[in-house]
Amino acid sequence: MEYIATFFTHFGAIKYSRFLASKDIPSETMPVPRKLSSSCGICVKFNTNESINTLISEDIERIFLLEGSETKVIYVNE
Amino acid sequence: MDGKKGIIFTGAVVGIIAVLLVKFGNPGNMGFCIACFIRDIAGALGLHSAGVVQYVRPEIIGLVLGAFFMSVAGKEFSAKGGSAPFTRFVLGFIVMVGALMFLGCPLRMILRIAGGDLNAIVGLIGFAVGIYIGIIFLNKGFSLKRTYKLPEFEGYLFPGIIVVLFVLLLAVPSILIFSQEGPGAARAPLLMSLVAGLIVGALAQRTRLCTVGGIRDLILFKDWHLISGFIAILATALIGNVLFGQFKLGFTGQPIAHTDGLWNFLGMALAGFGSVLLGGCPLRQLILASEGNIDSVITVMGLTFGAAFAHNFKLASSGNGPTPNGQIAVILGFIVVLAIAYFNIEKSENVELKDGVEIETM
Repeated sequence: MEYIATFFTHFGAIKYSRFLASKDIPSETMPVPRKLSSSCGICVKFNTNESINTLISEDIERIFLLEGSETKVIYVNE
Repeated sequence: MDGKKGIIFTGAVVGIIAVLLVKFGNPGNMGFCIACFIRDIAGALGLHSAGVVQYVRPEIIGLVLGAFFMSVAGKEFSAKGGSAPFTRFVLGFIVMVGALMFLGCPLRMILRIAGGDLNAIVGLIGFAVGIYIGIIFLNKGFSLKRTYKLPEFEGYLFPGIIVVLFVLLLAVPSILIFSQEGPGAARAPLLMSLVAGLIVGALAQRTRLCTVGGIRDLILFKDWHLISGFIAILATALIGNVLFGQFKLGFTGQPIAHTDGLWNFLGMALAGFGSVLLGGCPLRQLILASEGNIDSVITVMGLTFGAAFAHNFKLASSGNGPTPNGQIAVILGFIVVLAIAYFNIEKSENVELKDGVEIETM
Protein backbone atom coordinates (compact mmCIF):
# COMPACT_ATOMS: atom_id res chain seq x y z
CA MET A 1 0.00 0.00 0.00
CA GLU A 2 1.10 3.54 -0.69
CA TYR A 3 1.41 6.13 2.08
CA ILE A 4 2.44 9.75 2.54
CA ALA A 5 3.79 10.78 5.94
CA THR A 6 4.08 14.45 6.93
CA PHE A 7 6.44 15.60 9.68
CA PHE A 8 6.80 18.29 12.32
CA THR A 9 10.30 19.11 11.09
CA HIS A 10 12.34 18.97 7.90
CA PHE A 11 14.97 16.76 9.52
CA GLY A 12 12.28 14.42 10.83
CA ALA A 13 11.40 13.66 7.22
CA ILE A 14 15.03 13.17 6.19
CA LYS A 15 15.67 10.79 9.11
CA TYR A 16 12.53 8.84 8.31
CA SER A 17 13.46 8.36 4.66
CA ARG A 18 16.85 7.00 5.79
CA PHE A 19 15.07 4.73 8.27
CA LEU A 20 12.85 3.37 5.48
CA ALA A 21 15.90 2.87 3.27
CA SER A 22 17.50 0.80 6.05
CA LYS A 23 14.42 -1.44 5.96
CA ASP A 24 14.59 -1.67 2.16
CA ILE A 25 11.36 0.25 1.75
CA PRO A 26 11.61 2.56 -1.27
CA SER A 27 10.55 6.14 -0.57
CA GLU A 28 10.50 9.59 -2.13
CA THR A 29 11.03 12.88 -0.28
CA MET A 30 9.12 15.84 -1.69
CA PRO A 31 7.28 19.05 -0.80
CA VAL A 32 3.97 18.34 0.94
CA PRO A 33 1.14 18.44 -1.66
CA ARG A 34 -1.03 21.52 -1.09
CA LYS A 35 -4.24 19.55 -0.67
CA LEU A 36 -2.76 17.67 2.28
CA SER A 37 -1.62 20.69 4.26
CA SER A 38 -1.47 24.48 4.28
CA SER A 39 2.00 24.33 5.82
CA CYS A 40 4.97 23.89 3.56
CA GLY A 41 7.27 21.22 4.89
CA ILE A 42 8.47 18.09 3.16
CA CYS A 43 6.85 14.68 3.21
CA VAL A 44 7.88 11.11 2.55
CA LYS A 45 5.93 8.96 0.12
CA PHE A 46 6.49 5.22 0.40
CA ASN A 47 5.09 1.91 -0.65
CA THR A 48 5.06 -1.13 1.62
CA ASN A 49 3.01 -4.19 2.48
CA GLU A 50 4.36 -4.23 6.04
CA SER A 51 1.92 -3.24 8.78
CA ILE A 52 1.98 0.56 9.07
CA ASN A 53 1.57 0.16 12.84
CA THR A 54 5.21 -0.84 13.14
CA LEU A 55 6.43 2.12 11.09
CA ILE A 56 5.09 5.07 13.10
CA SER A 57 7.74 7.42 14.46
CA GLU A 58 7.50 10.28 16.95
CA ASP A 59 8.40 12.79 14.24
CA ILE A 60 5.37 11.98 12.10
CA GLU A 61 2.51 14.49 12.19
CA ARG A 62 0.08 12.71 9.88
CA ILE A 63 -0.08 9.64 7.69
CA PHE A 64 -2.22 9.51 4.58
CA LEU A 65 -3.23 6.38 2.72
CA LEU A 66 -3.21 6.77 -1.05
CA GLU A 67 -5.94 4.98 -2.96
CA GLY A 68 -5.71 5.94 -6.62
CA SER A 69 -6.13 9.71 -6.67
CA GLU A 70 -7.84 9.68 -3.25
CA THR A 71 -5.97 10.39 -0.01
CA LYS A 72 -7.32 9.45 3.38
CA VAL A 73 -5.89 10.53 6.77
CA ILE A 74 -5.24 7.40 8.80
CA TYR A 75 -3.08 8.77 11.61
CA VAL A 76 -2.78 12.16 13.37
CA ASN A 77 -0.29 13.02 16.11
CA GLU A 78 -1.54 16.17 17.87
CA MET B 1 -6.71 26.39 -7.73
CA ASP B 2 -4.24 24.30 -5.73
CA GLY B 3 -2.28 23.16 -8.76
CA LYS B 4 0.25 24.71 -11.05
CA LYS B 5 -2.34 27.07 -12.52
CA GLY B 6 -3.21 28.36 -9.06
CA ILE B 7 0.31 29.39 -8.15
CA ILE B 8 0.95 31.01 -11.54
CA PHE B 9 -2.39 32.84 -11.36
CA THR B 10 -1.52 34.05 -7.86
CA GLY B 11 1.90 35.25 -8.95
CA ALA B 12 0.37 37.05 -11.92
CA VAL B 13 -2.21 38.77 -9.71
CA VAL B 14 0.49 39.85 -7.24
CA GLY B 15 2.56 41.27 -10.11
CA ILE B 16 -0.35 43.23 -11.61
CA ILE B 17 -1.57 44.56 -8.27
CA ALA B 18 1.95 45.61 -7.28
CA VAL B 19 2.35 47.63 -10.47
CA LEU B 20 -1.08 49.25 -9.99
CA LEU B 21 -0.30 50.21 -6.39
CA VAL B 22 2.80 52.05 -7.58
CA LYS B 23 0.80 53.67 -10.38
CA PHE B 24 -1.72 54.93 -7.81
CA GLY B 25 0.74 56.26 -5.30
CA ASN B 26 2.97 53.70 -3.58
CA PRO B 27 6.75 54.32 -3.67
CA GLY B 28 8.64 53.13 -6.77
CA ASN B 29 8.94 49.34 -7.16
CA MET B 30 7.15 49.06 -3.80
CA GLY B 31 3.67 47.85 -4.66
CA PHE B 32 4.33 45.31 -1.97
CA CYS B 33 7.24 45.03 0.42
CA ILE B 34 6.64 43.15 3.62
CA ALA B 35 9.83 44.40 5.26
CA CYS B 36 9.25 48.04 4.27
CA PHE B 37 5.58 47.98 5.23
CA ILE B 38 6.19 46.41 8.63
CA ARG B 39 8.90 49.04 9.12
CA ASP B 40 6.42 51.78 8.17
CA ILE B 41 3.90 50.42 10.69
CA ALA B 42 6.59 50.30 13.39
CA GLY B 43 7.23 53.97 12.61
CA ALA B 44 3.54 54.89 12.67
CA LEU B 45 3.32 53.38 16.16
CA GLY B 46 6.28 55.46 17.30
CA LEU B 47 8.61 52.48 17.69
CA HIS B 48 11.13 54.40 15.58
CA SER B 49 11.23 58.03 14.59
CA ALA B 50 12.59 57.99 11.05
CA GLY B 51 10.24 60.67 9.74
CA VAL B 52 10.15 59.50 6.12
CA VAL B 53 9.01 55.91 6.75
CA GLN B 54 5.95 56.07 9.00
CA TYR B 55 2.50 54.89 7.90
CA VAL B 56 0.04 52.13 8.78
CA ARG B 57 0.11 50.29 5.44
CA PRO B 58 -3.38 48.96 4.70
CA GLU B 59 -1.77 46.28 2.48
CA ILE B 60 -0.48 44.52 5.61
CA ILE B 61 -3.91 44.68 7.27
CA GLY B 62 -5.44 43.24 4.10
CA LEU B 63 -2.84 40.48 3.77
CA VAL B 64 -3.45 39.31 7.34
CA LEU B 65 -7.24 39.43 7.16
CA GLY B 66 -7.37 37.91 3.66
CA ALA B 67 -5.24 34.98 4.76
CA PHE B 68 -7.18 34.67 8.02
CA PHE B 69 -10.59 34.48 6.33
CA MET B 70 -9.32 32.13 3.65
CA SER B 71 -7.83 29.77 6.23
CA VAL B 72 -11.07 29.79 8.25
CA ALA B 73 -13.12 29.16 5.10
CA GLY B 74 -10.84 26.28 4.13
CA LYS B 75 -10.99 24.85 7.68
CA GLU B 76 -7.21 25.23 7.89
CA PHE B 77 -7.07 27.78 10.69
CA SER B 78 -5.31 26.09 13.58
CA ALA B 79 -3.43 27.55 16.55
CA LYS B 80 -0.04 25.96 16.97
CA GLY B 81 3.40 26.93 18.13
CA GLY B 82 6.23 26.18 20.51
CA SER B 83 9.00 25.55 18.00
CA ALA B 84 11.95 27.54 19.40
CA PRO B 85 9.98 30.81 19.74
CA PHE B 86 12.76 33.15 20.83
CA THR B 87 15.18 31.76 18.24
CA ARG B 88 12.54 32.65 15.66
CA PHE B 89 12.24 36.15 17.11
CA VAL B 90 16.00 36.65 16.76
CA LEU B 91 15.99 35.24 13.22
CA GLY B 92 13.10 37.57 12.31
CA PHE B 93 15.10 40.50 13.69
CA ILE B 94 18.15 39.54 11.63
CA VAL B 95 16.18 38.91 8.43
CA MET B 96 14.86 42.47 8.78
CA VAL B 97 18.38 43.86 9.26
CA GLY B 98 19.45 42.09 6.07
CA ALA B 99 16.38 43.25 4.16
CA LEU B 100 16.88 46.89 5.23
CA MET B 101 20.52 46.71 4.17
CA PHE B 102 19.30 45.78 0.68
CA LEU B 103 16.15 47.95 0.97
CA GLY B 104 13.42 45.42 0.50
CA CYS B 105 12.14 41.98 1.35
CA PRO B 106 12.49 39.17 -1.24
CA LEU B 107 9.10 40.13 -2.69
CA ARG B 108 10.24 43.69 -3.32
CA MET B 109 13.48 42.28 -4.72
CA ILE B 110 11.41 40.62 -7.47
CA LEU B 111 9.44 43.83 -8.01
CA ARG B 112 12.66 45.84 -8.21
CA ILE B 113 14.00 43.49 -10.89
CA ALA B 114 10.68 43.88 -12.71
CA GLY B 115 11.17 47.65 -12.60
CA GLY B 116 14.59 47.35 -14.26
CA ASP B 117 16.63 47.83 -11.07
CA LEU B 118 19.77 45.79 -11.76
CA ASN B 119 20.96 46.14 -8.16
CA ALA B 120 18.17 43.73 -7.28
CA ILE B 121 19.72 41.07 -9.52
CA VAL B 122 22.84 41.32 -7.35
CA GLY B 123 20.46 40.96 -4.39
CA LEU B 124 18.84 37.89 -5.99
CA ILE B 125 22.22 36.19 -6.37
CA GLY B 126 22.96 36.91 -2.70
CA PHE B 127 19.49 35.65 -1.76
CA ALA B 128 20.03 32.34 -3.60
CA VAL B 129 23.48 31.92 -2.00
CA GLY B 130 21.97 32.55 1.45
CA ILE B 131 19.27 29.95 0.79
CA TYR B 132 21.89 27.49 -0.40
CA ILE B 133 23.90 27.91 2.82
CA GLY B 134 20.70 27.37 4.82
CA ILE B 135 19.93 24.18 2.89
CA ILE B 136 23.35 22.77 3.79
CA PHE B 137 22.39 23.11 7.44
CA LEU B 138 18.90 21.65 6.79
CA ASN B 139 20.48 18.56 5.29
CA LYS B 140 22.96 18.27 8.16
CA GLY B 141 20.06 18.05 10.59
CA PHE B 142 19.14 21.64 11.47
CA SER B 143 15.81 21.71 13.27
CA LEU B 144 13.93 24.14 15.49
CA LYS B 145 11.94 21.16 16.82
CA ARG B 146 8.26 20.47 16.52
CA THR B 147 5.21 22.64 17.03
CA TYR B 148 2.34 21.79 19.34
CA LYS B 149 -1.36 22.46 19.24
CA LEU B 150 -2.33 25.56 21.22
CA PRO B 151 -5.68 26.86 22.51
CA GLU B 152 -7.72 28.14 19.54
CA PHE B 153 -8.04 31.58 21.16
CA GLU B 154 -4.29 32.14 20.97
CA GLY B 155 -4.54 32.01 17.18
CA TYR B 156 -7.19 34.75 17.04
CA LEU B 157 -5.08 37.27 18.93
CA PHE B 158 -2.83 38.32 16.04
CA PRO B 159 -5.63 38.87 13.50
CA GLY B 160 -7.50 40.60 16.35
CA ILE B 161 -4.64 43.04 16.97
CA ILE B 162 -4.56 43.78 13.24
CA VAL B 163 -8.29 44.59 13.37
CA VAL B 164 -7.60 46.99 16.26
CA LEU B 165 -4.86 48.63 14.20
CA PHE B 166 -7.32 48.98 11.30
CA VAL B 167 -9.94 50.57 13.57
CA LEU B 168 -7.32 53.05 14.84
CA LEU B 169 -6.35 53.87 11.26
CA LEU B 170 -9.96 54.59 10.32
CA ALA B 171 -11.28 56.16 13.51
CA VAL B 172 -8.41 58.03 15.16
CA PRO B 173 -5.54 58.34 12.67
CA SER B 174 -4.39 61.41 14.61
CA ILE B 175 -2.84 59.22 17.34
CA LEU B 176 -0.67 57.49 14.71
CA ILE B 177 2.40 59.09 13.17
CA PHE B 178 2.33 59.51 9.39
CA SER B 179 5.20 60.72 7.22
CA GLN B 180 4.70 64.09 5.57
CA GLU B 181 7.39 63.40 2.97
CA GLY B 182 9.51 60.54 1.62
CA PRO B 183 8.43 56.95 0.92
CA GLY B 184 6.10 56.93 3.94
CA ALA B 185 4.09 59.72 2.35
CA ALA B 186 3.79 57.87 -0.98
CA ARG B 187 0.56 55.93 -0.63
CA ALA B 188 -2.02 54.38 -2.89
CA PRO B 189 -5.58 55.16 -1.72
CA LEU B 190 -6.46 53.38 1.52
CA LEU B 191 -9.33 51.29 0.18
CA MET B 192 -7.34 50.19 -2.84
CA SER B 193 -4.37 49.16 -0.69
CA LEU B 194 -6.65 47.26 1.67
CA VAL B 195 -8.41 45.35 -1.11
CA ALA B 196 -5.05 44.61 -2.77
CA GLY B 197 -3.85 43.10 0.49
CA LEU B 198 -7.05 41.09 0.99
CA ILE B 199 -6.81 39.53 -2.48
CA VAL B 200 -3.11 38.71 -2.22
CA GLY B 201 -3.44 37.44 1.36
CA ALA B 202 -6.25 35.07 0.41
CA LEU B 203 -4.44 33.80 -2.70
CA ALA B 204 -1.12 33.43 -0.89
CA GLN B 205 -2.80 31.37 1.85
CA ARG B 206 -4.46 29.19 -0.79
CA THR B 207 -1.27 28.55 -2.75
CA ARG B 208 1.51 28.85 -0.09
CA LEU B 209 3.27 31.41 -2.31
CA CYS B 210 6.78 31.86 -0.89
CA THR B 211 9.89 33.41 -2.39
CA VAL B 212 12.30 31.42 -0.22
CA GLY B 213 10.38 28.17 -0.63
CA GLY B 214 10.56 28.53 -4.42
CA ILE B 215 14.33 28.56 -4.57
CA ARG B 216 14.61 25.99 -1.75
CA ASP B 217 12.34 23.45 -3.46
CA LEU B 218 14.12 24.00 -6.76
CA ILE B 219 17.54 23.29 -5.22
CA LEU B 220 16.37 20.43 -2.98
CA PHE B 221 13.89 18.60 -5.20
CA LYS B 222 14.14 20.18 -8.65
CA ASP B 223 10.52 21.11 -7.90
CA TRP B 224 9.35 24.08 -9.96
CA HIS B 225 5.99 24.57 -8.27
CA LEU B 226 6.59 27.45 -5.85
CA ILE B 227 9.16 29.19 -8.01
CA SER B 228 6.68 29.36 -10.86
CA GLY B 229 4.74 31.83 -8.68
CA PHE B 230 7.93 33.84 -8.25
CA ILE B 231 8.50 33.87 -12.02
CA ALA B 232 4.87 34.85 -12.68
CA ILE B 233 5.23 37.88 -10.36
CA LEU B 234 8.36 38.92 -12.21
CA ALA B 235 6.85 38.46 -15.68
CA THR B 236 3.57 40.30 -15.08
CA ALA B 237 5.13 43.12 -13.07
CA LEU B 238 7.74 43.56 -15.81
CA ILE B 239 5.08 43.80 -18.52
CA GLY B 240 2.95 46.09 -16.36
CA ASN B 241 5.87 48.40 -15.61
CA VAL B 242 6.73 48.68 -19.31
CA LEU B 243 3.08 49.44 -20.19
CA PHE B 244 2.77 52.13 -17.51
CA GLY B 245 6.17 53.64 -18.25
CA GLN B 246 7.47 52.62 -14.83
CA PHE B 247 10.30 50.50 -16.24
CA LYS B 248 13.78 51.96 -16.11
CA LEU B 249 16.77 49.71 -16.74
CA GLY B 250 20.01 50.39 -14.90
CA PHE B 251 21.92 50.49 -11.63
CA THR B 252 21.72 54.19 -10.82
CA GLY B 253 18.79 56.45 -10.04
CA GLN B 254 16.51 53.58 -9.03
CA PRO B 255 13.72 54.34 -6.54
CA ILE B 256 14.60 53.59 -2.89
CA ALA B 257 17.72 51.62 -3.75
CA HIS B 258 21.48 52.02 -3.54
CA THR B 259 24.22 50.79 -5.84
CA ASP B 260 26.64 49.16 -3.39
CA GLY B 261 26.80 45.67 -4.89
CA LEU B 262 28.67 43.97 -2.07
CA TRP B 263 26.16 45.07 0.56
CA ASN B 264 23.15 44.41 -1.64
CA PHE B 265 24.52 40.90 -2.03
CA LEU B 266 25.28 40.41 1.67
CA GLY B 267 22.00 41.94 2.87
CA MET B 268 19.93 39.57 0.77
CA ALA B 269 22.20 36.60 1.54
CA LEU B 270 21.53 37.21 5.23
CA ALA B 271 17.78 37.52 4.62
CA GLY B 272 17.78 34.30 2.55
CA PHE B 273 19.84 32.33 5.08
CA GLY B 274 17.67 33.43 8.01
CA SER B 275 14.45 32.81 6.08
CA VAL B 276 15.35 29.24 5.14
CA LEU B 277 15.98 28.44 8.79
CA LEU B 278 12.58 29.99 9.59
CA GLY B 279 10.96 27.97 6.80
CA GLY B 280 9.67 30.90 4.75
CA CYS B 281 10.14 34.48 3.58
CA PRO B 282 8.59 37.48 5.41
CA LEU B 283 5.43 37.30 3.25
CA ARG B 284 5.00 33.63 4.09
CA GLN B 285 5.57 34.33 7.79
CA LEU B 286 2.82 36.94 7.71
CA ILE B 287 0.41 34.51 6.02
CA LEU B 288 1.23 31.68 8.45
CA ALA B 289 0.81 34.09 11.39
CA SER B 290 -2.69 34.82 10.09
CA GLU B 291 -3.72 31.16 10.01
CA GLY B 292 -2.84 30.54 13.66
CA ASN B 293 0.89 29.80 13.53
CA ILE B 294 2.18 31.47 16.70
CA ASP B 295 5.79 30.78 15.80
CA SER B 296 5.26 32.97 12.77
CA VAL B 297 3.55 35.61 14.91
CA ILE B 298 6.71 35.70 17.04
CA THR B 299 8.77 35.96 13.84
CA VAL B 300 6.67 38.92 12.69
CA MET B 301 7.27 40.52 16.10
CA GLY B 302 11.00 39.94 15.54
CA LEU B 303 10.74 41.58 12.11
CA THR B 304 8.93 44.57 13.65
CA PHE B 305 11.40 44.91 16.51
CA GLY B 306 14.28 44.56 14.04
CA ALA B 307 12.81 47.30 11.84
CA ALA B 308 12.44 49.70 14.76
CA PHE B 309 15.94 48.91 15.96
CA ALA B 310 17.38 49.29 12.46
CA HIS B 311 16.06 52.83 12.14
CA ASN B 312 16.76 53.90 15.72
CA PHE B 313 20.40 52.81 15.42
CA LYS B 314 20.95 53.73 11.77
CA LEU B 315 21.39 50.19 10.49
CA ALA B 316 19.05 50.69 7.53
CA SER B 317 20.50 51.82 4.22
CA SER B 318 19.19 54.78 2.28
CA GLY B 319 19.43 55.83 -1.36
CA ASN B 320 22.94 57.04 -0.49
CA GLY B 321 24.07 53.53 0.40
CA PRO B 322 24.68 51.40 3.46
CA THR B 323 25.70 52.84 6.82
CA PRO B 324 28.75 51.68 8.85
CA ASN B 325 26.39 50.60 11.64
CA GLY B 326 24.39 48.58 9.14
CA GLN B 327 27.51 46.86 7.81
CA ILE B 328 28.55 45.87 11.35
CA ALA B 329 25.01 44.65 12.07
CA VAL B 330 24.91 42.48 8.93
CA ILE B 331 28.25 40.86 9.84
CA LEU B 332 27.08 40.26 13.40
CA GLY B 333 23.85 38.92 11.92
CA PHE B 334 25.76 36.32 9.91
CA ILE B 335 27.64 35.23 13.04
CA VAL B 336 24.43 34.85 15.02
CA VAL B 337 22.56 32.99 12.25
CA LEU B 338 25.53 30.67 11.76
CA ALA B 339 25.56 29.98 15.51
CA ILE B 340 21.80 29.32 15.48
CA ALA B 341 22.20 27.03 12.47
CA TYR B 342 25.12 25.13 14.00
CA PHE B 343 23.84 24.69 17.53
CA ASN B 344 20.44 23.45 16.37
CA ILE B 345 21.82 20.53 14.39
CA GLU B 346 20.30 17.32 15.68
CA LYS B 347 23.03 14.84 16.40
CA SER B 348 20.80 11.80 16.67
CA GLU B 349 19.96 9.94 13.49
CA ASN B 350 17.67 7.59 15.41
CA VAL B 351 14.06 7.27 14.50
CA GLU B 352 12.00 6.73 17.66
CA LEU B 353 9.16 4.42 16.90
CA LYS B 354 5.83 4.64 18.66
CA ASP B 355 4.41 1.53 20.27
CA GLY B 356 0.80 0.55 20.51
CA VAL B 357 -0.62 2.59 17.64
CA GLU B 358 -3.33 0.64 15.86
CA ILE B 359 -4.40 1.84 12.46
CA GLU B 360 -7.14 0.12 10.52
CA THR B 361 -6.28 0.49 6.85
CA MET B 362 -8.81 -1.88 5.34
